[in-house]
Amino acid sequence: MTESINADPAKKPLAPARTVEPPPGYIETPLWDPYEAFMGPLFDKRVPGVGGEEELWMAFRVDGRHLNMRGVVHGGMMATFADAVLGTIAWNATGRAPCVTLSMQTNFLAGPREGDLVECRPKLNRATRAVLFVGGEFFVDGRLVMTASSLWKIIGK
Amino acid sequence: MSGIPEGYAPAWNEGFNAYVGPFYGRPREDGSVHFILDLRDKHLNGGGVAHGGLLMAFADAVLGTAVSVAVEGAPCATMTLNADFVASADKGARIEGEAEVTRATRSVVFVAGRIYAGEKTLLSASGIWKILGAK
Repeated sequence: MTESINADPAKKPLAPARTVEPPPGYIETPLWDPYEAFMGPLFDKRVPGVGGEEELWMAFRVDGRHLNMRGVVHGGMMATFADAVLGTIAWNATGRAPCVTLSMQTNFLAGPREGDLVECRPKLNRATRAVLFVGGEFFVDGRLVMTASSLWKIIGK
Repeated sequence: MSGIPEGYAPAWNEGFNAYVGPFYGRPREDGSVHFILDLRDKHLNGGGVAHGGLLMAFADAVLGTAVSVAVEGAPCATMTLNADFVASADKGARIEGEAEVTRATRSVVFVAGRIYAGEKTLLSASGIWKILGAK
Protein backbone atom coordinates (compact mmCIF):
# COMPACT_ATOMS: atom_id res chain seq x y z
CA MET A 1 0.00 0.00 0.00
CA THR A 2 1.48 3.34 -1.02
CA GLU A 3 1.35 6.33 1.23
CA SER A 4 -1.35 8.99 0.82
CA ILE A 5 -0.41 12.04 -1.22
CA ASN A 6 -1.27 14.15 1.84
CA ALA A 7 0.79 12.22 4.36
CA ASP A 8 3.10 14.10 6.72
CA PRO A 9 4.90 11.86 9.22
CA ALA A 10 5.77 14.90 11.36
CA LYS A 11 2.14 15.87 12.06
CA LYS A 12 -1.04 14.25 13.32
CA PRO A 13 -3.94 14.73 10.89
CA LEU A 14 -7.36 16.01 11.99
CA ALA A 15 -9.91 13.32 12.79
CA PRO A 16 -12.77 13.30 10.27
CA ALA A 17 -16.26 13.88 11.67
CA ARG A 18 -17.30 10.34 10.72
CA THR A 19 -15.66 6.96 10.32
CA VAL A 20 -16.20 5.52 6.85
CA GLU A 21 -14.72 2.30 5.46
CA PRO A 22 -12.17 3.07 2.71
CA PRO A 23 -13.48 1.99 -0.72
CA PRO A 24 -11.59 -0.89 -2.36
CA GLY A 25 -8.12 0.25 -3.48
CA TYR A 26 -8.28 3.54 -1.57
CA ILE A 27 -6.63 4.70 1.65
CA GLU A 28 -7.91 7.43 3.95
CA THR A 29 -6.46 10.85 3.15
CA PRO A 30 -4.81 12.68 6.07
CA LEU A 31 -6.68 15.99 6.35
CA TRP A 32 -5.24 19.28 7.58
CA ASP A 33 -8.19 21.65 7.04
CA PRO A 34 -10.91 21.67 9.76
CA TYR A 35 -13.63 22.16 7.12
CA GLU A 36 -12.48 19.11 5.14
CA ALA A 37 -12.35 16.99 8.33
CA PHE A 38 -15.89 18.20 9.08
CA MET A 39 -17.12 16.99 5.66
CA GLY A 40 -14.81 13.96 5.46
CA PRO A 41 -13.27 11.49 5.44
CA LEU A 42 -11.72 11.69 1.96
CA PHE A 43 -9.80 8.88 0.30
CA ASP A 44 -7.04 8.67 -2.28
CA LYS A 45 -5.19 6.14 -4.38
CA ARG A 46 -2.40 6.16 -6.92
CA VAL A 47 -2.73 3.91 -9.94
CA PRO A 48 -0.71 3.42 -13.15
CA GLY A 49 -2.26 5.63 -15.81
CA VAL A 50 -2.06 5.78 -19.58
CA GLY A 51 1.58 6.02 -20.74
CA GLY A 52 2.92 4.72 -17.45
CA GLU A 53 2.50 7.98 -15.55
CA GLU A 54 1.07 7.63 -12.08
CA GLU A 55 -2.52 8.84 -11.75
CA LEU A 56 -3.97 10.19 -8.52
CA TRP A 57 -7.63 9.64 -7.67
CA MET A 58 -9.54 10.99 -4.70
CA ALA A 59 -13.00 10.04 -3.48
CA PHE A 60 -15.71 10.50 -0.87
CA ARG A 61 -18.74 8.39 0.03
CA VAL A 62 -22.03 10.33 -0.03
CA ASP A 63 -23.98 10.36 3.24
CA GLY A 64 -26.84 12.42 4.71
CA ARG A 65 -24.55 15.34 5.60
CA HIS A 66 -23.90 15.98 1.90
CA LEU A 67 -27.46 16.05 0.54
CA ASN A 68 -29.77 18.87 -0.47
CA MET A 69 -33.52 18.87 0.04
CA ARG A 70 -34.05 16.90 -3.20
CA GLY A 71 -31.95 14.02 -1.86
CA VAL A 72 -28.99 14.52 -4.21
CA VAL A 73 -25.56 15.88 -3.33
CA HIS A 74 -25.65 19.63 -2.63
CA GLY A 75 -23.81 21.66 -5.26
CA GLY A 76 -21.87 23.23 -2.42
CA MET A 77 -20.60 19.81 -1.34
CA MET A 78 -19.44 19.00 -4.87
CA ALA A 79 -17.68 22.38 -5.00
CA THR A 80 -16.18 21.65 -1.59
CA PHE A 81 -14.82 18.30 -2.77
CA ALA A 82 -13.49 19.94 -5.95
CA ASP A 83 -11.73 22.63 -3.95
CA ALA A 84 -10.23 19.99 -1.63
CA VAL A 85 -8.96 17.74 -4.43
CA LEU A 86 -7.73 20.43 -6.82
CA GLY A 87 -6.15 22.23 -3.87
CA THR A 88 -4.34 19.04 -2.87
CA ILE A 89 -2.84 18.89 -6.37
CA ALA A 90 -1.78 22.54 -6.24
CA TRP A 91 -0.33 22.21 -2.75
CA ASN A 92 1.70 19.13 -3.60
CA ALA A 93 2.89 20.54 -6.94
CA THR A 94 4.52 23.47 -5.16
CA GLY A 95 6.37 21.47 -2.53
CA ARG A 96 3.51 22.28 -0.14
CA ALA A 97 3.83 26.03 -0.33
CA PRO A 98 0.58 27.63 0.87
CA CYS A 99 -1.85 28.18 -2.01
CA VAL A 100 -5.22 29.89 -2.27
CA THR A 101 -8.02 29.43 -4.78
CA LEU A 102 -8.20 32.30 -7.28
CA SER A 103 -11.10 30.94 -9.29
CA MET A 104 -13.16 27.79 -9.66
CA GLN A 105 -15.53 26.78 -12.44
CA THR A 106 -17.84 23.83 -11.94
CA ASN A 107 -20.29 22.11 -14.29
CA PHE A 108 -22.82 19.70 -12.83
CA LEU A 109 -23.85 16.91 -15.21
CA ALA A 110 -25.70 14.69 -12.74
CA GLY A 111 -26.51 14.56 -9.03
CA PRO A 112 -24.90 11.76 -6.99
CA ARG A 113 -27.10 10.12 -4.32
CA GLU A 114 -26.63 8.73 -0.84
CA GLY A 115 -24.24 5.78 -0.80
CA ASP A 116 -22.59 6.72 -4.10
CA LEU A 117 -18.80 6.87 -4.28
CA VAL A 118 -17.80 10.15 -5.96
CA GLU A 119 -14.34 9.83 -7.52
CA CYS A 120 -12.18 12.59 -8.93
CA ARG A 121 -9.29 12.35 -11.36
CA PRO A 122 -7.51 15.72 -11.05
CA LYS A 123 -4.94 17.07 -13.49
CA LEU A 124 -2.29 19.75 -13.16
CA ASN A 125 -2.55 21.52 -16.51
CA ARG A 126 0.10 24.18 -16.05
CA ALA A 127 2.32 25.56 -13.32
CA THR A 128 3.89 28.99 -13.64
CA ARG A 129 6.05 30.60 -10.96
CA ALA A 130 3.07 32.09 -9.14
CA VAL A 131 -0.06 30.43 -10.52
CA LEU A 132 -1.28 26.86 -11.07
CA PHE A 133 -4.00 25.65 -13.45
CA VAL A 134 -5.73 22.53 -12.14
CA GLY A 135 -8.69 20.66 -13.60
CA GLY A 136 -10.66 17.63 -12.57
CA GLU A 137 -13.27 15.14 -13.75
CA PHE A 138 -15.69 13.58 -11.28
CA PHE A 139 -17.37 10.21 -11.68
CA VAL A 140 -19.90 7.90 -10.06
CA ASP A 141 -19.57 4.29 -11.26
CA GLY A 142 -17.55 5.55 -14.24
CA ARG A 143 -20.25 8.04 -15.26
CA LEU A 144 -19.17 11.70 -15.47
CA VAL A 145 -21.10 13.78 -12.90
CA MET A 146 -19.04 17.00 -12.72
CA THR A 147 -16.14 18.82 -14.34
CA ALA A 148 -14.11 21.53 -12.65
CA SER A 149 -11.28 23.84 -13.57
CA SER A 150 -9.45 26.14 -11.25
CA LEU A 151 -6.68 28.65 -10.81
CA TRP A 152 -4.46 28.73 -7.71
CA LYS A 153 -2.12 31.40 -6.41
CA ILE A 154 1.06 30.48 -4.56
CA ILE A 155 1.06 32.87 -1.62
CA GLY A 156 4.00 35.27 -1.60
CA LYS A 157 5.01 34.60 -5.22
CA MET B 1 -19.81 38.00 17.61
CA SER B 2 -23.28 38.87 18.82
CA GLY B 3 -26.30 36.73 18.06
CA ILE B 4 -28.26 36.47 14.84
CA PRO B 5 -30.15 39.72 14.17
CA GLU B 6 -33.93 39.88 14.22
CA GLY B 7 -35.75 38.81 11.09
CA TYR B 8 -33.23 36.13 10.06
CA ALA B 9 -34.19 32.45 9.99
CA PRO B 10 -32.29 29.28 9.02
CA ALA B 11 -32.77 28.79 5.27
CA TRP B 12 -33.23 25.40 3.53
CA ASN B 13 -32.28 23.95 6.90
CA GLU B 14 -31.85 20.26 6.06
CA GLY B 15 -28.95 17.98 5.17
CA PHE B 16 -25.88 19.84 3.96
CA ASN B 17 -27.16 23.36 4.73
CA ALA B 18 -28.12 22.43 8.29
CA TYR B 19 -24.83 20.61 8.85
CA VAL B 20 -22.55 23.32 7.47
CA GLY B 21 -24.61 26.29 8.62
CA PRO B 22 -27.27 27.01 9.29
CA PHE B 23 -27.22 29.79 6.75
CA TYR B 24 -29.48 32.56 8.02
CA GLY B 25 -31.63 34.46 5.54
CA ARG B 26 -33.93 37.46 5.73
CA PRO B 27 -36.32 38.33 2.89
CA ARG B 28 -36.27 41.97 1.85
CA GLU B 29 -39.20 44.01 0.61
CA ASP B 30 -38.05 43.64 -3.01
CA GLY B 31 -38.18 39.83 -2.70
CA SER B 32 -34.41 39.31 -2.55
CA VAL B 33 -32.93 37.44 0.41
CA HIS B 34 -29.95 38.61 2.44
CA PHE B 35 -27.83 35.83 3.98
CA ILE B 36 -25.40 35.75 6.88
CA LEU B 37 -23.02 33.15 8.29
CA ASP B 38 -20.68 33.59 11.26
CA LEU B 39 -17.40 31.78 10.59
CA ARG B 40 -16.52 29.10 13.12
CA ASP B 41 -13.62 26.61 13.40
CA LYS B 42 -15.41 24.04 11.24
CA HIS B 43 -15.48 26.49 8.30
CA LEU B 44 -11.74 27.09 8.14
CA ASN B 45 -8.76 25.73 6.24
CA GLY B 46 -5.35 24.99 7.74
CA GLY B 47 -4.39 28.63 7.28
CA GLY B 48 -7.17 29.75 9.65
CA VAL B 49 -9.31 31.45 7.00
CA ALA B 50 -12.61 30.39 5.40
CA HIS B 51 -12.15 27.30 3.20
CA GLY B 52 -12.72 28.00 -0.50
CA GLY B 53 -15.23 25.16 -0.61
CA LEU B 54 -17.23 26.71 2.23
CA LEU B 55 -17.44 30.04 0.41
CA MET B 56 -18.66 28.26 -2.73
CA ALA B 57 -21.17 26.25 -0.70
CA PHE B 58 -22.53 29.46 0.82
CA ALA B 59 -22.63 31.03 -2.66
CA ASP B 60 -24.55 28.02 -4.01
CA ALA B 61 -27.20 28.54 -1.30
CA VAL B 62 -27.34 32.31 -1.87
CA LEU B 63 -27.55 32.11 -5.67
CA GLY B 64 -29.90 29.12 -5.52
CA THR B 65 -32.28 31.05 -3.29
CA ALA B 66 -32.44 33.96 -5.75
CA VAL B 67 -33.23 31.42 -8.48
CA SER B 68 -35.91 29.77 -6.35
CA VAL B 69 -37.60 33.14 -5.70
CA ALA B 70 -37.52 33.95 -9.44
CA VAL B 71 -39.19 30.65 -10.42
CA GLU B 72 -41.62 30.74 -7.47
CA GLY B 73 -40.26 27.61 -5.85
CA ALA B 74 -40.13 25.32 -8.89
CA PRO B 75 -37.45 22.64 -8.35
CA CYS B 76 -34.08 23.66 -9.82
CA ALA B 77 -30.55 22.29 -9.93
CA THR B 78 -27.18 23.99 -10.33
CA MET B 79 -25.75 23.37 -13.81
CA THR B 80 -22.73 25.62 -13.53
CA LEU B 81 -21.27 27.64 -10.68
CA ASN B 82 -18.25 29.89 -11.16
CA ALA B 83 -16.48 31.78 -8.45
CA ASP B 84 -13.62 34.26 -8.18
CA PHE B 85 -11.94 34.36 -4.78
CA VAL B 86 -11.26 38.04 -4.23
CA ALA B 87 -10.25 38.09 -0.56
CA SER B 88 -10.09 35.82 2.48
CA ALA B 89 -12.13 35.92 5.71
CA ASP B 90 -10.96 35.05 9.23
CA LYS B 91 -12.64 33.03 11.97
CA GLY B 92 -15.29 35.08 13.76
CA ALA B 93 -16.08 37.18 10.70
CA ARG B 94 -19.72 37.52 9.73
CA ILE B 95 -19.95 36.83 6.01
CA GLU B 96 -22.93 38.02 4.01
CA GLY B 97 -24.38 37.10 0.67
CA GLU B 98 -26.81 38.43 -1.89
CA ALA B 99 -27.65 37.55 -5.47
CA GLU B 100 -29.70 38.77 -8.37
CA VAL B 101 -31.23 36.92 -11.29
CA THR B 102 -29.84 38.22 -14.59
CA ARG B 103 -32.27 36.38 -16.83
CA ALA B 104 -34.82 33.61 -16.51
CA THR B 105 -35.86 31.67 -19.58
CA ARG B 106 -38.41 28.87 -19.70
CA SER B 107 -35.84 26.25 -18.71
CA VAL B 108 -32.76 28.00 -17.31
CA VAL B 109 -31.98 30.85 -14.92
CA PHE B 110 -28.85 33.06 -14.99
CA VAL B 111 -27.81 34.42 -11.62
CA ALA B 112 -24.92 36.39 -10.14
CA GLY B 113 -24.03 37.26 -6.59
CA ARG B 114 -21.50 38.42 -4.11
CA ILE B 115 -20.22 37.14 -0.76
CA TYR B 116 -18.76 39.87 1.42
CA ALA B 117 -17.72 40.85 4.94
CA GLY B 118 -18.51 44.47 5.72
CA GLU B 119 -16.99 46.55 2.93
CA LYS B 120 -14.80 43.72 1.64
CA THR B 121 -15.87 41.50 -1.25
CA LEU B 122 -14.75 37.92 -0.63
CA LEU B 123 -16.21 36.07 -3.57
CA SER B 124 -17.95 37.03 -6.76
CA ALA B 125 -20.00 34.21 -8.20
CA SER B 126 -22.22 33.49 -11.16
CA GLY B 127 -24.13 30.47 -12.24
CA ILE B 128 -26.80 28.89 -14.39
CA TRP B 129 -29.58 26.82 -12.87
CA LYS B 130 -31.83 24.35 -14.69
CA ILE B 131 -35.54 24.37 -13.96
CA LEU B 132 -36.15 20.65 -13.53
CA GLY B 133 -38.63 19.17 -15.94
CA ALA B 134 -38.77 22.30 -18.15
CA LYS B 135 -37.62 22.06 -21.76
